[in-house]
Parts: sequence; C-alpha cells; structure tokens
Amino acid sequence: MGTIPTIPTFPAGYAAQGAQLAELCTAITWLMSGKPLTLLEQQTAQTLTTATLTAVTWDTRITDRDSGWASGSDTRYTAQTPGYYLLAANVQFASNATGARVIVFQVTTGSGNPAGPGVTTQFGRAGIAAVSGAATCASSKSLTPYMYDGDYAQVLAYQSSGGNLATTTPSNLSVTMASG
Amino acid sequence: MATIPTVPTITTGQTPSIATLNQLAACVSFVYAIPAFATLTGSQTLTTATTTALTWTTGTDRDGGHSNSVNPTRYTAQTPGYYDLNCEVAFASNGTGRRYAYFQITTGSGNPGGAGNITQFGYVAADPAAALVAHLSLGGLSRYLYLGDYLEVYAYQNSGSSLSTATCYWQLVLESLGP
Repeated sequence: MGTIPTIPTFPAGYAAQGAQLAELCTAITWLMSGKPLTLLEQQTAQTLTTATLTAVTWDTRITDRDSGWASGSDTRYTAQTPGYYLLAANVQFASNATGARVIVFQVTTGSGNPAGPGVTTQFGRAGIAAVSGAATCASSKSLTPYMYDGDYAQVLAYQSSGGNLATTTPSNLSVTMASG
Repeated sequence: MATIPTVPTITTGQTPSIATLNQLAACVSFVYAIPAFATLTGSQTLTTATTTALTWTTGTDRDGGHSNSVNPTRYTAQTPGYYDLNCEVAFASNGTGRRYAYFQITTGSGNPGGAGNITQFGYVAADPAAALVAHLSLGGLSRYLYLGDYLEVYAYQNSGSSLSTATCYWQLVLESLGP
C-alpha cells in the first residue's frame, strides 16, 4: 500500500517540534512530486470480439510511481493508495466503417473495500460511430469513485463491426491521484 | 522557468529558523497556485488531407511557455514535469470525410534522449457525417517533459477542400514535478 504522508496538527499556543515540521515537509514533497501517477500504453494490437465489452490490455509501462500496474494483470490499474483518481484514455480501433465504437471506465472493488469485493461501477462512457476509411479513436477522461486499496480500474472497449476487429497502436491510459 | 521551491530539511529537535519556515511556505504556495499553467485559444483554416499543427494565441501563460509570434504552434516546457492536457478542436460544419487530432511531444536539446524525438498520443477521430459532431475532445497526461521539450496539437480533415476550425481551446497545467 502506498504511504500517504501524515499531516501534523499544531494546537494554539503550542511550540512546533522539529519532528512535526519534518512531517509537513514530507507531505509537501509528496504533493509536489510524489503523488501516484501512471502512464500506460498499448503497443501490441489486441483483437476485440464484435458486440462484446472487452478489457483493454496495457502492455507497456511508461511510468508507474505507485506500482499499480503488473504485467500479469495488464488490463488493470490497482489502487495502492486510497483516493480519487483521474483517468484519461484513448483507444484506437482498426479501420472499419461499420457500427459503433465505445470505451468506458470500470472500477471493481477489492477485498479491502467496505462494500466487499467484485462490485463494479462503470463511468465515463464515450461512444462514436465508426470512421470510414481510417482508424476510429475514442477518448474519455473522468474521475473515479473513491478507490480503496486493492480496488482496480480498467478501460473496456466495444465495437459492433459484425466481426473481430483489432485495435491499432498506440492507445494510452493515464492515471493520476486527484485527492485522498 | 518557474521557481521550484526547495522543500527544507527539518530534523527532530531542531527549531527551524524563520527562513526555513518561509521556505516551507513557498512550497505550499507552489502547490496552491501551480506556476506552470496556460490557457490557449486558436482558429485557422486547415488544408484538406493535410495534418496541420494548430496555431495558438495566449490567454493565460504563467510560465511563458507559449509565444504568439515565435513558433505559435508550440507550448515549450519551461518547468520540467508531467503536464495535464485538455484540448477541444472544433471544425466548421461539414459532413464530408473524417476528422482527427492528437497531441505531439518533440524533445529539445535538454532532453537526455536527444533533440527531435517525437511522441504522439491522445488520438481522437470521428466521422462528422455519421456522428453529427464537429468537436473533438482530447485529454490526458503528457510524458515527462524536460526543459525545452515542446507540445503541439495536430489536426486533420479531408472534406475535399479547405475547412476552417471554430475557436479551439487548449489548457495545460503542471501536474507533478520529478520523474
């Protein structure tokens, strides 16, 4: 689990101690340059079955400060530090003029969530008609529900071309902690 | 370049000086009012079937990353870090062809990987006839930008003739220091 710095309290009339001010310095350092921040890419195309919501694979880690991504679970960003996260994703679909293209974020609760594991929430849905003669690219950006340690976020993609359709690369996902 | 305050080191048992406390206050100010923040607008005519870097006019630019006269397509990082980007590319009404846009980073001479390396990301594409929309909304986090790396927004249309954009908007804010 990621460490959220402790914010000290200074009661009125109290002489601040060096240890508490050091805690304050740690908290500010974390805010300036240490908050969870992740950039993932899909650099190998993925085949999507028609009319089926499919979790997008992220095979390449650019940055992952809080170790929320693992190659063995490469569709997921798993919260290591509880909080609200800002997700931004774009997914490219291979050229095909038929049907719709949709992406949507999904958070699945883990065992540490008070609601219990396996509860899913979808949000940030973006849907467009397929572009004729070129790749179709869908994009969405949204804040997650509060994520407890072990909850995980995914990007689900949908296409209704009538057959299998590959993604094209690169597609991107960024995850940043917005608030504790 | 924005002044990046140094977080002071305070040890247990130490009574910090006023200077040290002011140093701490400067850090809080930095977080409270991020100094690398810009809002840009632009409109122009795009040649058909040609990917074009959009030209921008400064609205707010706290860090001096954009110039209306020199390389006006660019926002050049004056403060290294990760930047949160939001952009709306709006095309004039026209139902023919397709539209797409994306962000592009070009590294500068201060980048350890060398100058001139290009990364494209945040693609959005739509068919204006099918979707009945002419607005593309791009968003995402940049890769780590070193001093002198620059960002651009590229747009494309193939309506068959030149097509104007409506007013486009681009906002950038430093999200985090440190790689």
